[in-house]
Amino acid sequence: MSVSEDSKNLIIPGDILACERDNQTVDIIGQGIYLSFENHLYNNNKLYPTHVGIENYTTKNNKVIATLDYNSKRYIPQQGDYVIATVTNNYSTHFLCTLNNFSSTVTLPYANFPQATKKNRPKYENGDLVYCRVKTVDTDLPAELECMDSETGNKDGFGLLEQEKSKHTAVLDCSLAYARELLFNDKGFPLLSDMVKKNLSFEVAIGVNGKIWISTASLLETLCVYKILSKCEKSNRDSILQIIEETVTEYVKE
Amino acid sequence: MSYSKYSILENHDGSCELSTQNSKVIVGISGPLEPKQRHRLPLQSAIEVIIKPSSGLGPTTREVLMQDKLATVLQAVIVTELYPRKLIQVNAQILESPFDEFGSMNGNTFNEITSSMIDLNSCFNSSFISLCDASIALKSSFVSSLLAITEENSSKLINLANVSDLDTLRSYNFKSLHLVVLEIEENKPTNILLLDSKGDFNDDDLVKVLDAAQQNTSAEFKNIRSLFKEKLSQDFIWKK
Repeated sequence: MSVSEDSKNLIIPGDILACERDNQTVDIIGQGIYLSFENHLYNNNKLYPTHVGIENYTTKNNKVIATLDYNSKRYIPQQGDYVIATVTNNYSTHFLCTLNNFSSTVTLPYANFPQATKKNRPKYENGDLVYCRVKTVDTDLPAELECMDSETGNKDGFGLLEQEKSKHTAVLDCSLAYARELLFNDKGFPLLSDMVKKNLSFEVAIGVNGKIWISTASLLETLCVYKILSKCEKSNRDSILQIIEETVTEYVKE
Repeated sequence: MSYSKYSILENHDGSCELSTQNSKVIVGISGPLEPKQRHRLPLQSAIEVIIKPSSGLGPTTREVLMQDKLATVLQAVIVTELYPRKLIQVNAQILESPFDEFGSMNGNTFNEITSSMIDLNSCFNSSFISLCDASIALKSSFVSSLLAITEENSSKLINLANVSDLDTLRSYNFKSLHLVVLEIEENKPTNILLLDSKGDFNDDDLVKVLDAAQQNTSAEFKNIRSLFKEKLSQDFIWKK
């Protein structure tokens, strides 16, 4: 009846999905699976996988959700994502920001800031980093960002990622799946908590566009956190504690 | 059999270095990018292919012909409607070609054709792995094979990607050359995406070539599948 959950099948474009093989209805299709307009009209809603990944089926509120888990480097805006944007230009109504080098620009209107009025405009300069959320994505328009929770109007931790006095900051580029895991799965992947347990004090902001902003009190600590985060992207989970231990003793000698 | 390394260019979204017995190609893919105005298509993504030769300056007519062939196949395979008004850029650099040596054409007109077909064959296979590495949406997989029929030995069929020795390669007297790009769906070669033939051949020859291409494709695809298995475990190495 139901598609075997957590079936860890490797899927390559052109392969047949488990839900298609077993004639199982899927209510929601997620990343990596595509229903083309042509298949929707003529081919009995045949789904095809478009990326190399592992197929994944979950049931939520009696709805079967099919996704293909894959890793990539370039971020494509999706509604509701938390991102770190770089301001590149400003106009009378909005900032122009980029989420990735050489990707299409996105807009951050002045109206999407808390307590926005016509007179009250945020003073960001080109090159500033802003932590914000993707508000709307339209195929025919640039994506729109927001710097507040639009339901409550609160600031909610969004805003400029600024370098305070006597702080050292850095931005680390990482793969998208790694950024998602760090941001959403702290219980299953307790890298950040493990680092805090080793008496490292730091501040991070993680954007799912593959950017991690780090701020600590000293340059060596910033380097240390940067190194740990980038090393852990390419190593096994079991060796995480060892990496933290080694890097901390290398950079921040007690 | 070919040997490939993926994700070797850090600053590209996807890359692959592919070496066969006699050629070596590196492909880097960036996309979806913000295109220039002239590349902007309203409902689908533009695909730009640039192939650089192993020696000498930038795409000459020889490479431009290869670019066009590569672009037609990529256009059929990439789900272009997913990235409207974007650009997908495919950069291929040929590193080693069996006819690199000065004067290696030896006056044989077929050598000139062979050399560009060998390069193109590697470009096809390498760009497929790069596209998957760059996570560009694809409709299906494809594998390219380059087969030749010789005049002596009552038309023997040779897979040129497996000929390692340059002298042997030169000694062949080719009757015809065939570059076959096959689409793969559900693990089986299903469709011909490109069939580029040079020389004299008849129906029987072509049927033989297609049979051999299917076999070669299945074998290569098994290779690619195990490569992707390894890639995926590397991508999610922090998960276990």
